[in-house]
Amino acid sequence: MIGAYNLTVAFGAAQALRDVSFEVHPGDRIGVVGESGCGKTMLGLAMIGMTPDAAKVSGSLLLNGTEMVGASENSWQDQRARRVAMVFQEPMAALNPIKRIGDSVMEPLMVHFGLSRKQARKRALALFEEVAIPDPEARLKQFPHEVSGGQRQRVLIALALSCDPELLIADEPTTALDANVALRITDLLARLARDRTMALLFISHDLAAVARATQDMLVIYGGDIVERGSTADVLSQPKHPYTQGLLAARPSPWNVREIGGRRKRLPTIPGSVPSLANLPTGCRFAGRCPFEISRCAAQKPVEREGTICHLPEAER
Amino acid sequence: MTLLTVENVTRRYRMPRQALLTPPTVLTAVDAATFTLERGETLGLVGESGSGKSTLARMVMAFEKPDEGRVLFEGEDLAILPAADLRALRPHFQLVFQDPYGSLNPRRTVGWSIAEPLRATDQDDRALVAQALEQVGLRSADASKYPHEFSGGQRQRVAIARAIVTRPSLLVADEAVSALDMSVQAQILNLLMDLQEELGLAILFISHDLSVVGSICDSILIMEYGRTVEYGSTNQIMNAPKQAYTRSLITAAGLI
Repeated sequence: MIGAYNLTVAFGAAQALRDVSFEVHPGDRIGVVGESGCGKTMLGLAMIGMTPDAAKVSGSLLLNGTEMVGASENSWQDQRARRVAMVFQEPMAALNPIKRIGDSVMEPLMVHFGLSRKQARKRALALFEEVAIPDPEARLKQFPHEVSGGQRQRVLIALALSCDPELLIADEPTTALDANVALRITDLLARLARDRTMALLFISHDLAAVARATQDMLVIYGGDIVERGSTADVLSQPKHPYTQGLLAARPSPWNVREIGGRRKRLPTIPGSVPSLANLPTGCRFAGRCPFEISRCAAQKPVEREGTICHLPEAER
Repeated sequence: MTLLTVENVTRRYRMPRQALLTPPTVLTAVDAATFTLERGETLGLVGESGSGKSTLARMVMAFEKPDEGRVLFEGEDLAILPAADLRALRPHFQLVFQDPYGSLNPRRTVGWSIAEPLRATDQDDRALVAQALEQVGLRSADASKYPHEFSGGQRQRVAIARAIVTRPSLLVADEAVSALDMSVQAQILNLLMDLQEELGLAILFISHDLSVVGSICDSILIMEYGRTVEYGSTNQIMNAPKQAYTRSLITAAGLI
């Protein structure tokens, strides 16, 4: 079991993540949704001990009972890959361009498990088959630039699976891909989590992908988890004004012109995501919220019934 | 007269030779694309990367000439127009890029950048810049600020201000909302709808995202590997797609 309790990541006085708490159990598929600059990538990095040097991490992060906040780089290296592994957004940048794909995948197997080259090759082929890479033998010999973006992302997923992690963190794994390819990668991640009873943290701004791949979701805004619940509930009955605004602002593809030629405007959230230096001290959504009352900007709301908001549910 | 007519436009690129003495292969980036766009209407150009949609946009903008076919803007064939006449016509069709940070000069004020298309035709005018800024929802005083002082959504507003400052009749928006956050994307889509109604703009809206395209376009042209897969009204494409490829894009956009 992996748990974060009041996990905070701060750069000086600015909190990129504030008192984030959640638990991940084997086989959980959890979506993390938010806009850029809200802290979702920082959450992923904190879970794998890769926050920037300038960041101060506090609170608690337990990986199977081991406290990882303040842990040394050595103890992180023991935990990384076996307990938690990560797939990044840009598959080209994550693979060494002058190494054959096979060498990139086999290296951690030889280092972490002491496998021989021959054994590592066999294991790499099995991993490639698991992530449905066609003609795995040929792929091993190729360089990253010789394969498509979708295949590269599959290679990275195979790489992340190589040490059988308990939790796989996928940070915007489909953003750089075309729609049809993105769909297949999304389905692949969900299938792997089911087949392996592995937990999946699916970080994405794409609500459709999150709906497809996950059972539960966290909505993150300004470093706070503003809402959590089953994916179906959050998407059909959003409780936090930010989640409500976000869902309403989705473009409707059936927006035909009204009589007179006018087109219906989309509901919007005024303003934009505040920068780290300008976060409100109370509710992070203060200043953009349509229901704002006097105490919102000054006082941090407490979590109840899966959301943090000063207002009772009936008034939102 | 029809504002924009694209007739059987084809563009081929020669690929590098694979081996000595073999003829180089030819890639057909756009294959016989045909469509029309009237004033005040929006056409969505949809396809995955490599489908040829940006190449087609570059030909509409007369940055590139088609190998076959014609691009007619207000009846003028852009490929055979003398350079001086083309320059005089350019203020009437303008482009908005995906990445406003890459397309605005970081060392110049946004007022200077917005005035750029005006200078190209010797009509630099602060009043026009101020008016364009207000039309995109910014303040005229913002002209003296630099790009880094704006958020991503505001920068895209600046890029749109630059595109409309010459009072164009056609706006080509190449993935203009793709880099924006969800809450900001809706604001910019609304802005484009506002400008279209106020100025009677025609918009060629290029995007890979069918739900965005459906929200703003009157008709949609779907491209794959340079070929036109399907072309029809938004209603027909979204509700009764004829081609399997279109249906797969609708599924991938999470619309079914």
